[in-house]
Amino acid sequence: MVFNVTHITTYKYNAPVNYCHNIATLRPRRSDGQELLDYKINISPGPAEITERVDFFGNFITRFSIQTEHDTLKVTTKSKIIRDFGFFYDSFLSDACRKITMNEALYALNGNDATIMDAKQFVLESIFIRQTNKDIKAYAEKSFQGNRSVFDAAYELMQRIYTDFDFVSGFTSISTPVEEVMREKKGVCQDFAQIAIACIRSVGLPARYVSGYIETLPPPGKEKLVGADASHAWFSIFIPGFGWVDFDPTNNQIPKDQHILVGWGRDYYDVPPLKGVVYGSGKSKLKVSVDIARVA
Amino acid sequence: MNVTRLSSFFMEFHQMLIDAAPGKKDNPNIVILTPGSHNETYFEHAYMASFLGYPLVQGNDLVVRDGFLWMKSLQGLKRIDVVLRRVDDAFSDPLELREDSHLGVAGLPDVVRRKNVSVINPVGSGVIENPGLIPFMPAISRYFLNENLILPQIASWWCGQEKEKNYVLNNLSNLVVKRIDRTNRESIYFGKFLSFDQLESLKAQILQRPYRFVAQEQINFSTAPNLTQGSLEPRNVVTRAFSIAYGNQYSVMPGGLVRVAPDSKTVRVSNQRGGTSKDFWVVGDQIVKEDKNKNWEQKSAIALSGLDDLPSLTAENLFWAGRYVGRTLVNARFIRTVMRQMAMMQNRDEKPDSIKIQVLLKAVTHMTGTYPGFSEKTKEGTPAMDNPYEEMLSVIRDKDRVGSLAHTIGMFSNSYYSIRNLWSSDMWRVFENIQKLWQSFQEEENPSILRILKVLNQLITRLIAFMGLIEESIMVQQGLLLYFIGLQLEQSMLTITKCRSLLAVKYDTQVEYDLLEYLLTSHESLNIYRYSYRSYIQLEHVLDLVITDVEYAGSLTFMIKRLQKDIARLPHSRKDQQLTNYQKYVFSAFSKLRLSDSSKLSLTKSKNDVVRQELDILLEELSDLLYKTSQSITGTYFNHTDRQTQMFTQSFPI
Repeated sequence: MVFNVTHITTYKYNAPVNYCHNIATLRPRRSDGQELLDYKINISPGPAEITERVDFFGNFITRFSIQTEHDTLKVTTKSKIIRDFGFFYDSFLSDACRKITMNEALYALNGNDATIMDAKQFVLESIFIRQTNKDIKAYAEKSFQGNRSVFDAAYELMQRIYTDFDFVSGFTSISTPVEEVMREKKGVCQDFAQIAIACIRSVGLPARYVSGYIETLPPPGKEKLVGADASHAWFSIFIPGFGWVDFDPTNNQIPKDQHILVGWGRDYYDVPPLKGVVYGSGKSKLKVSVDIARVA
Repeated sequence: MNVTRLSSFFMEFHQMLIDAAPGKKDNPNIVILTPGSHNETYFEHAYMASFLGYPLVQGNDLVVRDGFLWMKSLQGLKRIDVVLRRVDDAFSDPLELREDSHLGVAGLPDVVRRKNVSVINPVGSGVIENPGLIPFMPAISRYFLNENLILPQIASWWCGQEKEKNYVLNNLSNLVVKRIDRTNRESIYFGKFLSFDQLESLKAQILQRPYRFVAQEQINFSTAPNLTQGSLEPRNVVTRAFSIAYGNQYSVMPGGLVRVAPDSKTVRVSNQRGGTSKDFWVVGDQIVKEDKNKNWEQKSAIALSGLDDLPSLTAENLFWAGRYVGRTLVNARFIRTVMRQMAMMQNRDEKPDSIKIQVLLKAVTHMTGTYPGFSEKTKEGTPAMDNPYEEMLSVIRDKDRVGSLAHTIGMFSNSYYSIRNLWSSDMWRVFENIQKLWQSFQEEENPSILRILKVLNQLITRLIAFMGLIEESIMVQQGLLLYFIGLQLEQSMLTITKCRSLLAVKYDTQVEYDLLEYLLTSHESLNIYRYSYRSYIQLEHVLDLVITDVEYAGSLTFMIKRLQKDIARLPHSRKDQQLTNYQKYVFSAFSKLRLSDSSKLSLTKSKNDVVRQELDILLEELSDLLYKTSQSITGTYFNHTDRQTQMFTQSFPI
């Protein structure tokens, strides 16, 4: 499946900004079953300098700064992506993926080959997901038990988050602590992904945060609205001997071809679509629109 | 004593910084990046900056543009090649690192990646300070160098390993436990001093995040003799030694700093816990030759070029230091004059019946800007005029009241505190004297007018001593010029307000005479007046002396002339072509003064009129021009005040 993704982020300031430094994680990375065919970024006003590099996790980071006075910042990216995830999706049915129990996984994590070493950093605390109170662990342990398959436990955790939590936008912000989301059982996709990650880490297994897009389909009989698609986030768990498996607790499914991956990290902090330091006074208003169109 | 000199170490240090510059420049621009005057090691940064001759800057003084790092100076942006970093790793960039940091420079790591600046030590090197690495050092040394460690290590156990963790938990009361990161440098636990409950809680903390802790054997430290109140006593000491990696080797400073425990029982030594500091010297057998030929001329290029390269934050602090010291002095003198008159009143807690006292009190409100105060426009409640003592006490001592003497002294202290690196030791002494005097006065209950007068006298004397020291301890190109500009500007503005409050309205002859005398007294000009005019005090003469005299240092015209000369030396001022705005304002003020005529200024429109319109208009215009001057100087030179904000605000719970 080939998609054209248009992602527009607009900041409107109520007082002029003299200059700003920004970092964007918007260019989709290569990953299993996904290739980037074309990518363009357009920034207005034009940046004085712009560089791109690959970060520690292998994501594309675009850094730019604007030195002309402005009251609106608009960042538009157009990505053409081919997704063909069927083969990988099917591999999740294998014994290598499904049969590993938590005890076996924890034992395997004592090893120190390169894959294990790389995965182990995702057990540690991260900026937004600290080791937390007992609630998270108690919630996790309902699904994660020593002799149970890690895959089954993760699948059940995804289902439970999908049923137990309400999708309420505007209730949380990026600074809402995981504990509060757990207590209130409300949030958006970022919160659900981070809850799942906190749970998985609390039992000692590696989990990472995945940022991307999801294609939404219009209600039957209605035309699809431009810009109705969204920035999205989900989580991924590491199964030793097999590899990483993604789960989307917001939609209660394992991502296939409608999920487009941009980057991953320990939590939201590592892969914010756009962040920046702004010099000037006053407040900003943010507007994001994402449009995903099937080409073929 | 043959004390080994440190200068060769600093020479190498200096050379190392020069060699670190990208592109091997001959004269790289080097700065020291400090977290600011509230940091406990600020003194070191300041001392090093003045010793090595590098500008001392804060994050706010630097900016990233076009892929390079620049320092905001009085003249404009200056490219920086090397940063000696004294800001913690995580705080050095609010974009890629801690978002809540206001100590760093947004985009700094990117300039480093482009190899357009060298940061010493590189951001991230703090990870080496992790004490969790200690147990691995012998193996690391053998693996990489095939050598054993020369210095023995204290036995250490990192709790991130199962076996080590269990050992630590079982032997906690004999161990010293530390965190592996530097986020909380005070978190050191001495097991043997902990109660059962404390030990249990520490165990719980370790179990929750074992990787975060390292434990060390509790060893008995040796002590050093310390001279305490005339006798030698043993004390635990901590020495801080310094070394630099230069070329392929390390140089160790032949000396260092020592922190001494406050008493003989204390094992933990830290400045924050009341320890004292000492130098430590290395004494040799050989006679140390003074090497007077050390080539210190080759200093950082930007330090030499003076005023143009003054960091604008320092410049602004000096400007405000001048303004606040001027404001404190002029207001303290005026308030003293007023208090002397109040001392002669029958009842200080009642509305004064004499007009002259009322005029004086209103002038206090105008000069300090503590409205409504004694001015007419009182809101509900008792007018201040009904209880002058209470209001005056508030104008003098209420540090939360903007404009009060206490508030001004507070602002004066802040601005001086933030430029501590420019001070001489005598200035410290006098500054502390002022602080002490004022602190004890703040605490006194219901001080008598005589007591207030005494404090004001002492304050004024110390301020004058302090001002004298500033002039002799700071060089013009270090920024003294900005101090003078601030001082002249403030004194001129207050002189204008004072003359306007006391002279713009015509009173009875006797009242008028007294007011003129108060004006001269508060201006410290009574003797000069008597010397110059040898006559009865007359308005025209007073105006001549205080406003239009060209020779007398206390006259407004003289001060404005001086201001005009000083601002002409600022980097953006023009001498031949079109003047800058601030130059125009001051020039205009000066010409208005030169064109005025005291005999006309002292007249009212008609005999029955009470307002001296010409004087009033002149003073109003002057006041307006000086206000604009200050705004224009601020806009031209100190415009670094753009606030740094994040597009998103997020908590950063490290």
